[in-house]
Amino acid sequence: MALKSRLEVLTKDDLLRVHEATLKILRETGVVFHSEEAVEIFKKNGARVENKTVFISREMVDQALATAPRTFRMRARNEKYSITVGEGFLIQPNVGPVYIQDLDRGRREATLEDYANIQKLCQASDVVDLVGTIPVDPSDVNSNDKYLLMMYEALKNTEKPIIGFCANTQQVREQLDMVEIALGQPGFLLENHCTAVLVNSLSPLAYAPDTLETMIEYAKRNQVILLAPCIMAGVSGPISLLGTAVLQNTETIAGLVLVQLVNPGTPLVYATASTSGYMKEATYAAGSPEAMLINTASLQMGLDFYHLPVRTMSGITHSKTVDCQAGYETMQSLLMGMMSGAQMSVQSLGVLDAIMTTSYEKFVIDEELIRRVRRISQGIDTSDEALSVDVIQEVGHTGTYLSHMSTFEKFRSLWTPTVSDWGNYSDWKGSGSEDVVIRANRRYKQILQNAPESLLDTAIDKALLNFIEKAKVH
Amino acid sequence: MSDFDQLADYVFKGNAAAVKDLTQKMVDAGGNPMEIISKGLLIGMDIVTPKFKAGEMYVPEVMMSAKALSEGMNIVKPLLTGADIAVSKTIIIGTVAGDLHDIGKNLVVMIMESGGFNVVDLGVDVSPEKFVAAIKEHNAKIVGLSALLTTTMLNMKVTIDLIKKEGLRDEVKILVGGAPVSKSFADEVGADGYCADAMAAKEMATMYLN
Repeated sequence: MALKSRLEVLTKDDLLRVHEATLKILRETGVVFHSEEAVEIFKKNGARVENKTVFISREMVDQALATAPRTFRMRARNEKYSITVGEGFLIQPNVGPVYIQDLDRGRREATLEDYANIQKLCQASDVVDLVGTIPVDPSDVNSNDKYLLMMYEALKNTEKPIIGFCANTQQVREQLDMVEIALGQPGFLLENHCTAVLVNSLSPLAYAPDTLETMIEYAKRNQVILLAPCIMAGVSGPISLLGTAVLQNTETIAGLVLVQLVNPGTPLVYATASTSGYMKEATYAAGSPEAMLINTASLQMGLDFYHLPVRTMSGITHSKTVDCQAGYETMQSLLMGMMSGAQMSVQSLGVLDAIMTTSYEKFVIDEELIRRVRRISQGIDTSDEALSVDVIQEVGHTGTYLSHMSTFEKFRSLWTPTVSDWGNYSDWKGSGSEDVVIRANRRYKQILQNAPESLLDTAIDKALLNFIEKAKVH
Repeated sequence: MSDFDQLADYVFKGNAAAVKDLTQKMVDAGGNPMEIISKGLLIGMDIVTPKFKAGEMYVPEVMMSAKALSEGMNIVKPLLTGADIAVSKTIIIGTVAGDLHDIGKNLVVMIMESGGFNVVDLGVDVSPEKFVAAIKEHNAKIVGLSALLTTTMLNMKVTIDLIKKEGLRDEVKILVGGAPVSKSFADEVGADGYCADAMAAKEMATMYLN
């Protein structure tokens, strides 16, 4: 069972045009890499370099595409959560919100406790496949230690494939070392993909120092890179949606070439996170139908032209609160993302206010939206049995399907909501005329209450805490 | 329509070539430079500001107006005498150390310039030392710090701390802005003001200078 069509905005010829446009820009304008190490890697491999600008040839691109895997396995600390990246519609936690929001306390700057809570929700969720990263940025911890503390909370509260943080070389090494300690097997990472990291280009046509240090370090350790330009059409990219898709493609391919030069075969996910600009404020428009249309074009490039695993940013909204706007913008984005063939999605778990905020209640509601979208992605059973001719003939003109054996056997497989209310009016009124947000508020608290104290065994927990204390010193 | 009104209208409409021609014509005819600025060029921006705030004008239109204005200013400014230039209207601005993002900062620069401020733009990845040196060199009364990343916004505090240490804290008002920055963050790092957008930055700077 699967949908028979994908959402597409480009023809086959267009894919080639975008690719040729990308090659021309890479060759003639080049990309600025703000890192000596990165520039040296390009030089050593024969790229033309002027200062920090690297000009990339068709041959280098072809070579990189030849070594980048189309799918790969990502190992979880608990093997039952291991995943294959490059198929399905995997969900990862949000990245970047600085505020946390709930019905009881409103919007506030997030703390490390909120960070841990979101990790617990991700671990408990049947729709969330990856954990870690920065679903909320904790404001109450020292910035130098933040990465250590976030990684500790992620490891303590989850055992799914983990996503780390973009940082400098030393901090990246420390987070990967912590993952290895939690796995209990030194050197395990070199042979297994266990940790991913989200990195963004510095649009237009550049890469910042920390980004490059992170990419290089992850590649050296054979870990996964989720490379996502976040371009705003009309602000940091062309006003033409196709033009922004071209720029997005160009930046991604430049990053892909670097990663494959560092360590051929390093898994890289062609991730798309661009939007149209909101021209009244020169910011980005999270709730725009055009945002996903840009990424739809890019997903076609990643999937059909380059044969890379693809990810998109879907489930986003500009609404400040969990209201009607939040609902329709989130669903518009999420559904378009899935229908465009994305194999992974980010910012799909409770974001509000253009990814400035994560809402506890919306996290729970978005889980249901994901279940809806995943159900849609399955299409319908088209087997002979599903044609149901015998059932239709048996029931004939006067019978009921409600008591037919075929219904009895299958009815539980029909999709049912987990937080939406489908009951009748008087029941709804009788139980307090509750808004979905109120039910979601109860639900998230319940999940947190039931979350285990820790998923680490005592010896590993101790080793991690020791590691953090040592790392804090230098 | 008087030349002043015409000039203001060209600025409002973002017609840089027409602003340049008319400003030159007015200068050649012996017009007073200060008047060309205050009765013509800046009036044009005064039309733009409320329209932008009301959501009638969009950022690309405001930027065209600001560009048109600067075409005129480039002609008139060299003709101003020392007394005309209010030294106190100098603003130092930059994106803090470790951060290379400058779209928002550049927007603030244009809006400030269009408000008649003398803006010294230090660019991106500006070290605390550079900010301090610039405050001393330009005798600025306002310092603007920008950051986009949660990892770099803490360098606002580092910068402000150095300004304090150098004994310059009472000489300047410090304004901060950027996507992850908030009013409470501004208070926490010891800034004087948080600016949600470029217009807010201009208004706050104007308030502090008056």
